[in-house]
Amino acid sequence: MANTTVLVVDDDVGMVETLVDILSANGYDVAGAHSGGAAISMVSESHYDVALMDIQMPGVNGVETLKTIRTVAPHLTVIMMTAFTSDELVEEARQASAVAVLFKPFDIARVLDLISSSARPGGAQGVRA
Amino acid sequence: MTLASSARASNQMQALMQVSLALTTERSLERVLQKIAEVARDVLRARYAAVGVIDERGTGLSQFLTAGIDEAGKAAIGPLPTGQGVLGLMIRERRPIRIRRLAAHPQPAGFPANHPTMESFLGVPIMVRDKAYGNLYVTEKQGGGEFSETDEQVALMLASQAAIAVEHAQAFRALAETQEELLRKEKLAMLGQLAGGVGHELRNPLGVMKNSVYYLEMILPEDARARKHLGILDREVGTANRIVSDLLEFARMKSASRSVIDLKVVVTDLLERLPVPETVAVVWGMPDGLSRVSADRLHVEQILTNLITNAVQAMPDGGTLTIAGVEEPTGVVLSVTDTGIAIRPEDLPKIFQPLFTTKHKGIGLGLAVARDLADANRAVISVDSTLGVGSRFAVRFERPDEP
Repeated sequence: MANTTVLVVDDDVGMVETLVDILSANGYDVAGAHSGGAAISMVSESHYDVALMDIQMPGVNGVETLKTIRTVAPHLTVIMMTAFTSDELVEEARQASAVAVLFKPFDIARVLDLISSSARPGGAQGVRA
Repeated sequence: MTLASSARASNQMQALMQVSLALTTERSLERVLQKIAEVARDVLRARYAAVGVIDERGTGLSQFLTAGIDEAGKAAIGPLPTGQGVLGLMIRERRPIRIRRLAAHPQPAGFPANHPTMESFLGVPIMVRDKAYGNLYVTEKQGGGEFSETDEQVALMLASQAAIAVEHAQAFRALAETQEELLRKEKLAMLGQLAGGVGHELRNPLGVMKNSVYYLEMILPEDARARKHLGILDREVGTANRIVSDLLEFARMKSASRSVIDLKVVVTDLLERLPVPETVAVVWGMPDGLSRVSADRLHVEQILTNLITNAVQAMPDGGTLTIAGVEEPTGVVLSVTDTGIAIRPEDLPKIFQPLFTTKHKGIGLGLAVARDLADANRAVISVDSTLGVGSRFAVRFERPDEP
């Protein structure tokens, strides 16, 4: 069975680098993007199982990107992340069908858990903050 | 008009002009009132003159200026009571008093023991519209006579100048206080914005650092030194993140959604969750039947948590923590008292300021947040501290029916 493919999207280069390294070392096929625009192109060209995406990005922000991606890849599991704390964000992300919102700095164990449960039949359910 | 009386009228005119001049040129209320006392003594041909202004709380004199008494004599006079005798009568009844012979003993007339003896006396209240600010009085008419009705008119005119001066001074002080308060609030708002911005910005690099530590822990062989330092990094990132959380908590707009709550229940629940070191004895002073109050429960818990944390930190070698509730006319007062390191008197006014701290660690936001939360709940927070004894923080919450 092919590895689960993950796309990491964040304008913070360090965030993308570290997450790519960590997820690769855990057996996933990982690619990185630094903007919503780049993410949309990549998702249109290749298949990804999971996307881990920052909400606050310059240009097209995370939630907007998510809505666009939904039209291109309806089955993509999306996990949002953010440096901000807000109930509105969680609500917005849920409405845009994100599976969870992680507040930075977050536990990697949580990320791995979400990704692995999304790969199971039925996938990851619900939005938890 | 006789020559004498026209000379007198001209004198009086000059006197009033002098006072008017003083009103517009002197910067201090004290000097204006001193001038009025001197002019009164001069123009009314009295041996002594005095001007007294009652302080805004009504408990004593905020100003007392004299003419005709030397420094030693003045020092010998004690603080003048305001409510008694002749002086009190003038203020209560808002009318001048002219007496030919005051009693030989000054005390029954409301003057302190060492006041010079007085025979003839003329006093007028210092008033603007309905409000009485104090008295102007002159005594001992030169030549041994008594003060005339004309003298009374002049005294009334001088008193009205004094009244204007006092009103001005009070208005300016109120303005200055309002401006200071406004400035303080602006500074606080800006600080809050800065704190919020910085806090959020820091979370990105902290997130990346935490990720890196995770990865290093994954790939490094079991090198004890490496793992030790990775552990250190992990902990410090955690500490930095907690500081960021404090900053963000401080910056957050704190709108309260108040409901009717039972303080005793809230405090009891909180104490079950809040760890207090074994060296600190907890004394409970919350009686049954305390009125319920109008407040946001989460805010009350946060305020209390911050106060208890502070109290515990003030008792590094142990002590007693007392939590009490008291019914008062204007609300219910919840207090947290410790027997630890007290707050120095010069620090007391600053203790609720953000970033003010006397501790080595921590960024001093706990009390600032507590005050913000109290404000949002229309509660009043205050502190008392005695060196060698401890400190008591009190929060007065409104009852639901308060206007």
